[in-house]
Amino acid sequence: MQTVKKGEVLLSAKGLQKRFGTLDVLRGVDVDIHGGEVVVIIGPSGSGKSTFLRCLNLLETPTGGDIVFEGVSILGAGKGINKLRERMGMVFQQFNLFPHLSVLENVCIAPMKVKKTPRAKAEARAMELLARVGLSDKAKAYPSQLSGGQRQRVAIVRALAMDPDVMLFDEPTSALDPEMVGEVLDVMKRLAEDGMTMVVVTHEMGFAREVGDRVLFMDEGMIVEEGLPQELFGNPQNPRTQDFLRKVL
Amino acid sequence: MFSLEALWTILSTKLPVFMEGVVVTIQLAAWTVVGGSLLGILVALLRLSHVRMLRVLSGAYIEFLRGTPMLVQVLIVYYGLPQLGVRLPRMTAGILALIINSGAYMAEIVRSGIQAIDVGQTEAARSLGMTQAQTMLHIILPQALKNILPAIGNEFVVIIKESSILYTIGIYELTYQANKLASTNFRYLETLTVSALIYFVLTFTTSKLLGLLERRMKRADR
Repeated sequence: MQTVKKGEVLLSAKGLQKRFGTLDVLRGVDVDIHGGEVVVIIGPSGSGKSTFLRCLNLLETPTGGDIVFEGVSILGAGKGINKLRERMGMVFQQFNLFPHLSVLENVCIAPMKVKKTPRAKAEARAMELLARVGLSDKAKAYPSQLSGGQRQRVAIVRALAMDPDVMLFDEPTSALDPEMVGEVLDVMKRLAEDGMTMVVVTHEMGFAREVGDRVLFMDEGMIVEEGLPQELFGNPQNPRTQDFLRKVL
Repeated sequence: MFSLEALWTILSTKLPVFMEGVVVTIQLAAWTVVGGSLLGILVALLRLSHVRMLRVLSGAYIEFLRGTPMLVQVLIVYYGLPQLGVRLPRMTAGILALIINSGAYMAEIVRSGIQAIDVGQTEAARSLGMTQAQTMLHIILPQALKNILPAIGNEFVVIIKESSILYTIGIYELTYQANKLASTNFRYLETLTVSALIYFVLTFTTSKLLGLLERRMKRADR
């Protein structure tokens, strides 16, 4: 499925801008994300990190700049955006599971309706993925019967069922009770170890340090500083990064 | 004088006549609630369309149908359309008029149901590569329709009552039968009271059944 080899640029934002009315949320963001890389984005709330992530699969329409995914400009894709989104999985802070569908149906619906995968094949794949996150026994359950951590693991599986080339995580643990954060981070960590390309917006500094290949610090709509986790956390150069890390660590 | 005895005689000897009318009334209401729901879904989708023209047209339809008397609408469909060469059987014209009217109310119910679904549902579906149409069909509408089932039930009760207007174009529903009977036995007060009682039994039972169904569904949701 992966059309871009490990290490090559998979997804890049070029001078990305987003303006809501008179508010400049993104003021020219340039990032290259390489195949197999785990990029973690940190920063204070309101810094534009979620907006940046949501621009990558066009849940928000950028007002300037460009996004190139696997060599194709997303902004010029028109209706082709649906095809591109199939290859970009997304996990939301609020899970956004489909409450009227069982866990199994949640995972199977996109492969069946979008990729026209036969039901038997989609369900077999779904069960395999659910087993991997330890939720085989919840296949017939409905989202309302699951804990937050279980819901988020299902949401990750739902995105993985489309065999995406990149996974976008929008604060995946921020809505969870503290005791459930670990189980979700574990799943994400294993995903990273399996070589998945990941862009993760998070407040979990431990995860950023341990799992991230590269950490971006965003503030006021720009990437203020970026580097290897040990560099950025150990020896931040920019005063704003220093200030932020002093507050959260 | 209102005579309970006369009322009882009418009820006990002429019940089959009323029942003929009841059957037609229920048929009218059933067809209308089904057709009206489908039309309502269609109009609601147009109302929420990205195309301005469709929004304007569907909005005008809703406003016009809700802002004019149903009696006039029925008369236009039954007596007016033949002038354009559209000659419908009485029953078809009656049901069509009810559907066109009910569709306008249903459209507003469906629209509010769709808009009440969290935007995160759409985002999740779109992020998986679903088209706008697939998202609406598989994700939004099933949830919206389930939420508005009580409102659709209320509309069903309203239609049972409003279908009585069709007596004016000679459809043999409950009001027509009662009126006809009264014009032969001259016991207008008692005969029409019987029909009112029957309407009440119909609407009261329907709302109680719907309430039961609603509580069941709530429990299934946990």
